Amino acid sequence: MNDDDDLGRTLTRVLRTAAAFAPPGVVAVPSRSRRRMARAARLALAAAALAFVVTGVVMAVRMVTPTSYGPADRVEPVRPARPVEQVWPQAVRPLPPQLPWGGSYQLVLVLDRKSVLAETPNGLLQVNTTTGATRKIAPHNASAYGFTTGEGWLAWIDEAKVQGEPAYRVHVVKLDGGHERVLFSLAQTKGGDQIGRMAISGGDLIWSSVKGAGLSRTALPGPKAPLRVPGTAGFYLLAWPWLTDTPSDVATHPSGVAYVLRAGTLRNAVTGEVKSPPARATGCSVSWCLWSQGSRTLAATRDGVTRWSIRGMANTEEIILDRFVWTDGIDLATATPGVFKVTRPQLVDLATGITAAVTTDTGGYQTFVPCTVNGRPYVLDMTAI
Amino acid sequence: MQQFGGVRRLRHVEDDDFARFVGERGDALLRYGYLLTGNPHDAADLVQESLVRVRASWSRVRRKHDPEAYVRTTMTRLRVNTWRLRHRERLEPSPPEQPIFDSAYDDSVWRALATLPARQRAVLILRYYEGLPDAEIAEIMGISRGTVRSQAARALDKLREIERLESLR
Repeated sequence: MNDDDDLGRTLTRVLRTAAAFAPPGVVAVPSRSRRRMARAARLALAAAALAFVVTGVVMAVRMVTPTSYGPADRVEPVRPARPVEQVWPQAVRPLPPQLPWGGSYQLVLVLDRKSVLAETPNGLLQVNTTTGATRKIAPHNASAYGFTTGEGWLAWIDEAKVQGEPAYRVHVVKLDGGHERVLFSLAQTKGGDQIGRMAISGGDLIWSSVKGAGLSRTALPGPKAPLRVPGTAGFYLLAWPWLTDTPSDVATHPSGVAYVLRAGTLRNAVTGEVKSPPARATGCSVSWCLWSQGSRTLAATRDGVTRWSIRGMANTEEIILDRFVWTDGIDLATATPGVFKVTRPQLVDLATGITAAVTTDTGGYQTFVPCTVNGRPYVLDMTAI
Repeated sequence: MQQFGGVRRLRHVEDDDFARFVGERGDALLRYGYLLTGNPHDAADLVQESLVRVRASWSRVRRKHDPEAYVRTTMTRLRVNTWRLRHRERLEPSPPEQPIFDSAYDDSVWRALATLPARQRAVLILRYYEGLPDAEIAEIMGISRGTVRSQAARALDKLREIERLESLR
């Protein structure tokens, strides 16, 4: 793993920790009139200053205030966390610490039940996690991103000159053999469109415009000219067949294959079904919505039938595979002041309430996470749960 | 009279809507502000100033798909482009009440971030905290993608240099 990757991971960890433990503050609601706005700002600053003086008092109040729920909410606490290798042994696979010739690598993607995609200085490699055997997929290219798998294919985007002009290129390769090829390219222009999230379904590569032009598709293995998917203008691919009208939901994580959604309106591209965002949720996936209440996080299905009370601060904007959510597992109501260190993030399965503790410093939004079990490198593949 | 009442009702709905937005997302905005500024006082100041600006055009902003992203963009631009001209830069983050990092190394990285210029710091936050691609960072900050890359590279170089100097201590 190179220095940039290490430093990048460190920065993600440091920034997430700092944000999670940012000192509390007070925000006033500014009013419309200028005079009232100025007064609100002054009051807020005074209140913020006061809040920091009495931080200890604020924390004490938060710690002793019980979280209350309406009687009709039927909230159940998620189950206490146990080590992930005990909870979901089928989803935790050992990773070779090094490649056969002793080289290190960066885990890019879980390809299937027996192989992962690894980035090395020599190129992109498919690594069999059981035997350690490798297969070179493509030469090293620092601009490669947007890796997507499905139906035995791998696709990704890179940036290169095509006929002397800068362009985005989409590459595809069969996972069971064959050479990678460029499926199509899109010219890079100032303010022009880009290739957003991609999916592979029904023998097609489907991708989303970043500028709201809708979806396009190309039959694999190509090359064929892309075709627009009718009726998708103004929508962005979330996770096929679900589309969203909120661009930030899908443009956020180019390598993401998870469901990441704040609170947009969803539309099923196949059935036409529409799901509107509930008013109080801060993050929703196709089936679940999350919001914070005190030091806990509440989860409800879109129809509000089942709810979970999740210990600690969960990332309410990232529901992975429409089912999993990361939390720090710290309950301010019972935690000892000063020991708010996140040692093992917890992964909650919203479908069952089962919770697993994972030794990882990455967490995040993808459907897999590198972790350690008894000090050895493993990968947790949520698609196997 | 009826029309007058309608306008008043509309304003009332807008007020409620804005208050609800601030109530629900205020903490998240403060956390983002804390990362951008490195200390809680400036974070509260930055969030408040951004909300004052957004409030003036809330009727338009609320129709956008993602008002929070709009506020975050306002905060980022305010922090990088204009806010620093009127507020003194604090080069050291306020020491937290309690140790929050698991290691001294993470703590030194957090402190090193505070020494970066506002623009470089914002690029790193958008890339490594928000997980945004360079093209989107460029759009949010109103700069070219090349500038995003060069700012990120300079910032990372600086962090590495600080790390090297720390190791010599």
